[in-house]
Amino acid sequence: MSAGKAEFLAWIEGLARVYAENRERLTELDAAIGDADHGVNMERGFGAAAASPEVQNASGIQSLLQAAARVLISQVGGASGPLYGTFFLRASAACAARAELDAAGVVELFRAGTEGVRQRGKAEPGDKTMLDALHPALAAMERALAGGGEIEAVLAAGVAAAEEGMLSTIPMQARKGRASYLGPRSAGHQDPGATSAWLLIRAAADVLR
Amino acid sequence: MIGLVIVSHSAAVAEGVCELAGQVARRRVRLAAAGGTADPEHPLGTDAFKVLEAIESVIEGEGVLVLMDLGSAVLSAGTALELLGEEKRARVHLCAAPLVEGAVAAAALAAAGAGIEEVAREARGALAAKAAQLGDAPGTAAPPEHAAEKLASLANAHGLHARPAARLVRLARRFEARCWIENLTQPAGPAEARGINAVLALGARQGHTLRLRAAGTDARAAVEALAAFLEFGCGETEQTADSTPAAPAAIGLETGRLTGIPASAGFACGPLVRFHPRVVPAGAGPAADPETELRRLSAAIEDAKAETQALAEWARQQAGESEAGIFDAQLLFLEDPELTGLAADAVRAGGVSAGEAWQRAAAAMAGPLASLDDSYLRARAADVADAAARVLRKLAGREPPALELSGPSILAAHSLAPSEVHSLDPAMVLGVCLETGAASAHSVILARAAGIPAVVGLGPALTALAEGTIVALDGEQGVVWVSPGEERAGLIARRREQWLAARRAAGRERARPAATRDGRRIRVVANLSSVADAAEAVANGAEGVGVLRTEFLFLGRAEAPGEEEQLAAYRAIAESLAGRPLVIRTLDVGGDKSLPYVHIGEESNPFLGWRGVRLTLGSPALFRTQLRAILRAAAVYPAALLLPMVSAVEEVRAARAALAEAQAELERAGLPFAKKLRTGVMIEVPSAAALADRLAREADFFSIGTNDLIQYTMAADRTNPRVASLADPFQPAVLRLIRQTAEAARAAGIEAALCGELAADPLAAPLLIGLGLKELSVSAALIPALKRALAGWTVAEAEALAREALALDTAAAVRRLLRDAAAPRG
Repeated sequence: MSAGKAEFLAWIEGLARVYAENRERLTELDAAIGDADHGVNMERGFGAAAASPEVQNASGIQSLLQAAARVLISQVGGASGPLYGTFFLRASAACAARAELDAAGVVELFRAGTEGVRQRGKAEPGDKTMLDALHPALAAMERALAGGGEIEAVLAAGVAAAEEGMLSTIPMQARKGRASYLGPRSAGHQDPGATSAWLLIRAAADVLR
Repeated sequence: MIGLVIVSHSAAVAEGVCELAGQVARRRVRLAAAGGTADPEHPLGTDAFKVLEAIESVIEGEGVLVLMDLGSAVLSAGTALELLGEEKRARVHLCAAPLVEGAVAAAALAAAGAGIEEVAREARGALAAKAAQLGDAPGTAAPPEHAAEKLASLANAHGLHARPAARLVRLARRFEARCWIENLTQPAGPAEARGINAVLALGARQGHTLRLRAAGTDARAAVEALAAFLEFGCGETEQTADSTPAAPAAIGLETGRLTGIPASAGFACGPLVRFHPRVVPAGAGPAADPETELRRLSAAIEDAKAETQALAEWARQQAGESEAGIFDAQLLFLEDPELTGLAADAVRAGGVSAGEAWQRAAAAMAGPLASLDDSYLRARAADVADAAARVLRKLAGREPPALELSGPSILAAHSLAPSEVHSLDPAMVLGVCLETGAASAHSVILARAAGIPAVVGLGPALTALAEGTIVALDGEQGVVWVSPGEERAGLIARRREQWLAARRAAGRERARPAATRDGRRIRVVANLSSVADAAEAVANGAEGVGVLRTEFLFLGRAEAPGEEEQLAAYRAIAESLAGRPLVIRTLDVGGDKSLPYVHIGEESNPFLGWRGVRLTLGSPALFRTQLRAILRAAAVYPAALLLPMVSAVEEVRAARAALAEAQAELERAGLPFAKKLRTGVMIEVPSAAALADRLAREADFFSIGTNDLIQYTMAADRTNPRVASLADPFQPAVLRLIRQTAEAARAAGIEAALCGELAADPLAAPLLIGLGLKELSVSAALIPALKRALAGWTVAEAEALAREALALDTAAAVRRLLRDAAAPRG
């Protein structure tokens, strides 16, 4: 089983829908500890990525993800722009020229993207950021892959771990980003970035197989 | 040149910070703003592609420092770096400096020629000064006990604000010593003079007493120079301090409107045409045998020299001597035996084509220049490259195609080299828009002289405009409107008409290099008697200093000024002159001026006694100290030496011997000094005029001092009313001596200048040109009037007038002739 360009396009389009549907939820979360723009930014960025002719007419997975990265970087003014942009930029590089990705390829893609986010934001798990969803998700996907899992199983493991990681951000005190200005007052709120990261993986699980 | 990129969530903030930094950067730093997003609905935020573009617009040079505000700005800057590619990435530094203080500090330090590491370090520490002033930071390192010290009172009417502070910092950085400034009037500091923010934080206002301290090898010179600089208004005259000079405007894009730096005044409206640099053909093919390659090389160098000479002539006519100097320097470079030798050796070693050998040799010569500390010299590396490229074009045997315009247009380019301005036809090129901020000030000056309006520093936004787009350009505001509406286009067209009319009317009086009506260049320079005069001279359009009377350093004090103090004064003046030539006259006392520390004794006739060069030759220690100071100043600045009151050949020889001795001492002491110092002789004693042909063999130039020449020739004291009428500059005897001196100079191939009141008399202007003088030196205030007077005559008219005047018998008749001749000219 492997995922090709059509599936990845469906992922991006799915993300545009998912973030539109969850705009208010993300904004609410961000209003508590940030600047209340995460929902709008994600909706706008992925809406633009899905509508972009470069994404729609991309010749392969790599160029598709790269085009999406460029849209995110230039369209999302907040921190999520460069962070998700870097995720897709690194992810695209990991795909090389392959027309289709198998389970190992998908894990490799998430590994490269997650590492990019970690480097860009200089954050570590526990800082109350998107990484708190991405990092455990990647670990779970790697375990599932080692156990011989196909794409579906791998991503399902990833979604579950991401959700758990997302919820684990509630008691955390933010150490990165705007929320870190709040210090101890940031505890008690779920991190909007970890939430959008969980949605990212969930949307992948819906279409990649 | 270092590039500075400002990243902010807000476009207005990024542009505003650029504007602030631009105030101290003096166009020696490339600034680019990357603020806000491209989305008009959500303008606040950062865009890594904008950052990328900004970095790329300023990366040509030594490196780029990126300063950013917070959050996504940091992430976007990191992303931009990732997108930049490995090779360029290494030259870009993301700097954690506070945005505003850091940008100003970085710009000031970069403009002073500091390396990028140091600029980054100073920027990161930029908050310290403010913190110290507000009282919530640890104290700064204090100067050591043994520091040299001097008090100075600040002259600037507006206090030590950003512009003078930047100049002060630049001056302080010329010394090896660490310098501190402390405000004693309103206690603040001590602050290290190398950091602009610390200097600004002193809050020094006019009249405040500042304590200068320095420690290090040249500490004494440093405090003297800084004190003199402060006392004399940091090179600012009141006029320049009051009127805000063309401040670099914000760089950025509004809707349909690009804002850049106003570089050449004027208005224009027309279609945009891209100007592509004249590409030097790469690689010169396989090598023939060494003999053939050597012949090709020397032929190409000769051709390039001829072309450079033509360019120099053109620049001289367009903008005067100082701009022609760029090409004269290029000529020297092409003639440099070390360079040609290096290239020839490479060819002889075999297997290397003339082109490759030349390229290597030129790079070897330009390399060390580019890495020098002095930003002025570093800028010369670009000139060297320009000249070297000319030889390569000649070797390739074909010129890049000239720019062909189908109609009057406005040029858009990344940057322009001075020689590229030459290829522009002012009738076809209505205006110029450049992406880079005054990448080459020389080219902008030439454009200005050619009457081509220009806006520079428009940034990468300019590249987005399609060829053929109609743009309206306002070179006074530094604004370019894209596809202007009918109303805007009409307005600009009307203003263009007004501008052209005003330009025609004011053409003669403009503060530009002086010339006769038919275009013969006459250098108009200033007489200086103090450090403060220098700024006024520049403001009035002096092309240099014809005579710096150094007596101001010596008079009214108990002991002679030391070498360091003199050096500091000469440096401060030269610094204000910004590269213009400076002729320093050695001490001229005796006569009516005496000094307590030089014992002249009773003289029954002081004006015929021990004065001028006679006195300095007889006071070896005094003379030696001054010669050493002048030699050291001339190591860095274009300075020359002038000997006053020479009446015999052996005096010049003795002075030259003293000069050689001083050079040998400096050599032994390991201090930098001028190995060759242009040495001129004042012709102000009749015997010197009579001996002009002999003296011309000993001197590098003449400077005719009319005030003394008149008195000595006529044996008449002009302050004595009974004989004052004899002391008339238009006395035929005086005019003959001037003519004789000018002719001797011409025959010997040296220049003759004239300083003194005669040069300041507008009636005399045609006479002096007619007598063959190429340089006139007057006090600063009289420069504009002199230029106006010169422009009323052709060389032929002036020569005819001079011939006629010299045939007359009396001063009164000469005066009448000149008056009648000048009358119809208004």
